[in-house]
Amino acid sequence: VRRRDLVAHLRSLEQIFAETTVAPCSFGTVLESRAAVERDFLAPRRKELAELLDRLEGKVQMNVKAEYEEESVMRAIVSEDAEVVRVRERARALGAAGHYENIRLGELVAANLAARRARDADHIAETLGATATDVVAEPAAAEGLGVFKGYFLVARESLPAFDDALEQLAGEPLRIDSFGPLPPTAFAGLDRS
Amino acid sequence: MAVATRNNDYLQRAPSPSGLADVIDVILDKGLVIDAFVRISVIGIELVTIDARIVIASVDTYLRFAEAVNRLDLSETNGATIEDLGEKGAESETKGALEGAKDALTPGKRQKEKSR
Repeated sequence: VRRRDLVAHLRSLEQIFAETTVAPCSFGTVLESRAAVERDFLAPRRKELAELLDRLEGKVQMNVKAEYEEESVMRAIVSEDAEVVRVRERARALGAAGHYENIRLGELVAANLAARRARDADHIAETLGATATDVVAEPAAAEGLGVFKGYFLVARESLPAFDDALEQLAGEPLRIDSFGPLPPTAFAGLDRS
Repeated sequence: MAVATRNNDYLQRAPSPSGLADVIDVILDKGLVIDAFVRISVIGIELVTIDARIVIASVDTYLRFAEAVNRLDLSETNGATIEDLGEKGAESETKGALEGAKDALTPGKRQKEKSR
C-alpha cells in the first residue's frame, strides 16, 4: 500500500461526498464482486445502513488538530511557575555541569504542559462541540506539544458557527489546523467503540 | 460564509489534508468496518501510525524542553521572578515528575539513559 492509494481512497470519497450523503468504508475494505457487495453487505444490513445515512445527511466532518507553539507556551510556563524559574536559574548557573538540573527542569516543564494540555483540550472539545452534532476525540499524546486531536460532525448550516469557534480558540500559544468539510469517516462506524 | 478578512496567524484551514499523517487520520481505521470480510494488508501503514503514536517519555524529551525554556530571554518575559510567585501549585503538579527525576539522578543510570 502506498501513499497514493490512501490519497486515491480519500479523493474518491470526497468526489462522491460532493454529490450525495456517503457512509464511508474503512480503508482497505475489499469484497469479491458487485454481487457480493449487495448480497453480503447491503442486503443484511439494510436497515442499519439506512439509519446511518439518515444520521449523516447534511452533515460534514471537520478534523481539528491543536498544538502549542513552542516559544510562546514556554514563555507562559516560565511566567507562572516559580519552580521552573528557580531550576532554570540553577541550571544556567551550572552551565555544562548542569545536566541533571536540566533533566529536572525539563520534567517540571513537562508536568506543567500536561496540566495545561488537559485544561485546554477540554476547553476546545467543549467550545467546538457546542456547534457540532457529535464529536470523537483522540486520546491526547502524553508528550510533545500536541494539545488536541478530534473529529466533529457538523451540520452544514452550522459551519459558520464552527468556524467562529475555531477563530476564537486559535491564538497564542495555541495553533490550530482544521481540515474539512470532509466525508464523515469517523462517524460511519455502526458500532463506535 | 461571509467573506471577511480573517487575520489569525494561529489558525490554518484546508478543505482536505495532503500530509500523509493527516490523510491517515481521515481514512485509516475510520468508517464502516465490514466484519469478517477481507481487509488488505496495511502493515506498512500501520507501522507508520504506530510510530507516530508511540510515546517516548525519555530524558531526551526533558532535555529538549529544558533547552526550549533556557533559550528564552527572560528580560522579555513580563517580570516573573521567584519572589513574586507562589509555588504551591507547581509543587503538587510536579510531584510525579520528581519521582522520575530521582531515578534519573541515581548514579550509574546515566549512561543507560543517555544511550536511549
